[in-house]
Amino acid sequence: MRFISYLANPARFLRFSRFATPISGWLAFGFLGLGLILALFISPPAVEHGEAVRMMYVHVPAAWCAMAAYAAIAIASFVSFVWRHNLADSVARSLALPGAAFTFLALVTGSLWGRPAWGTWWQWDGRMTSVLVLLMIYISYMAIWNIASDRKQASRLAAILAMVGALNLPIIKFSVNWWNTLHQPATISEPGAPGLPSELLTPLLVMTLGYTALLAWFALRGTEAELVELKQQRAAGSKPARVTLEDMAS
Amino acid sequence: MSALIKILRRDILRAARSGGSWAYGLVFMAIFLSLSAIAMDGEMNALRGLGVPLIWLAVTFASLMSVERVFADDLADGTTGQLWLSGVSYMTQAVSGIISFGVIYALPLILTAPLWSLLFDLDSVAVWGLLLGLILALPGLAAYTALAGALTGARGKGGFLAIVISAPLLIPLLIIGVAASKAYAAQGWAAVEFRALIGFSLLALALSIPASAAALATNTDR
Repeated sequence: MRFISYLANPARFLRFSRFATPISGWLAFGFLGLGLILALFISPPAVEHGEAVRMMYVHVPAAWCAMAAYAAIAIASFVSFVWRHNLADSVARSLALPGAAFTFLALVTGSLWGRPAWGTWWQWDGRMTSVLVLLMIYISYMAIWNIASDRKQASRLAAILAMVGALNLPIIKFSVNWWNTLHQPATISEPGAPGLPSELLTPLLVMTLGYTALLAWFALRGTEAELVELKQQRAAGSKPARVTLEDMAS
Repeated sequence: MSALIKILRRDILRAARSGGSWAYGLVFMAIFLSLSAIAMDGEMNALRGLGVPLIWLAVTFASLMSVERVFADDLADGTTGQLWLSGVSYMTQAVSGIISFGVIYALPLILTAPLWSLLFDLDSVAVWGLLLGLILALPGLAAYTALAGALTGARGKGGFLAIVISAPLLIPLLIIGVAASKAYAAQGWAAVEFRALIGFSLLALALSIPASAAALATNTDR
């Protein structure tokens, strides 16, 4: 908590991000490179899925990061709505595009994996429908930023929408779960779940670290860019007007 | 309370004098449903199964078409801010917007559902299920469309964006509503889907009233 309130000052945030941004960028690069080598060449094919299991290493981290990004947007929106903090909605705004991209990636890779595993590109299954709805919510969140020309108004409207969307996601999740189900349930995170053998789990975890670092890089970089833009706007607006009064030659 | 009733009376009066703008949704529904039936080549056997979901879709789309009418006029001419200055809270204005949207724009769509069901040759049990499902979904439908209207405000280009905003929110209502309408034929009023539908409608109201109030406050710079 103290760390967050330390970062709430834009100048201190910029000092922090000056070294945090390149670190997360290089971490993403390294982990993704290592993870791809592990996933594509070293890990064995799985018993039931064969070579198609390699899809898991891009699919599962994308889906996790898509949800993590939305959770972060919702929390940042709450902070920006309650304390009206500029930095919080810059963070939320810069997370929206990578979050939407990860959601789209999860849908596309899931569809490509579904073809060999289930024999279909698309099924109106609970998990797929709710991820599709998540993508729609991301799109509407990005769209609402553009309706108000005043940044303060736009940020508040976007925060309201993000919070309503966050409260709605579990509702959507349950409603589509009752509706149809094909996707496998949680394999790793729940106690008593079957789990994964370590030679499959290691590349998955490395890839997840890489995706998370990439998401952090996008968020930090986007926030830096927003701060610079805001500073420029303020500088442009604060130039004093000059009026010269002269006597008319009579 | 009296402010709420006065706003509702004003809204109804204004709709009655508007030369039928409240009926645009009905016209859209008539066109959408008859075009769907024609596109299906008028095959009654196929249409009978599609009738309930198609009418549900038509009601959803037709109410989305009237999103701009909920708060946009009041926000554009400053009535919302004036009402707030004279002591009518944004919460009251949000509630009145939801109720007047439900009564003026959504209710006619729902009450004419039996008429549209003639196009699909639905039997009377299916029509009752459809009607009950739609009536129970009405609060949720009105709540989410009013929220989209409050968020987009008086910006003219709000119509399309309002559809983008409210579409993901309306999905649970659509899923459970269609399921309830279909379950009525087998289990009648006792079907568990009806209780889930009531729950979703109430949740939508509970979420949308404060959220629309906050959006109205933002759109009047408070």
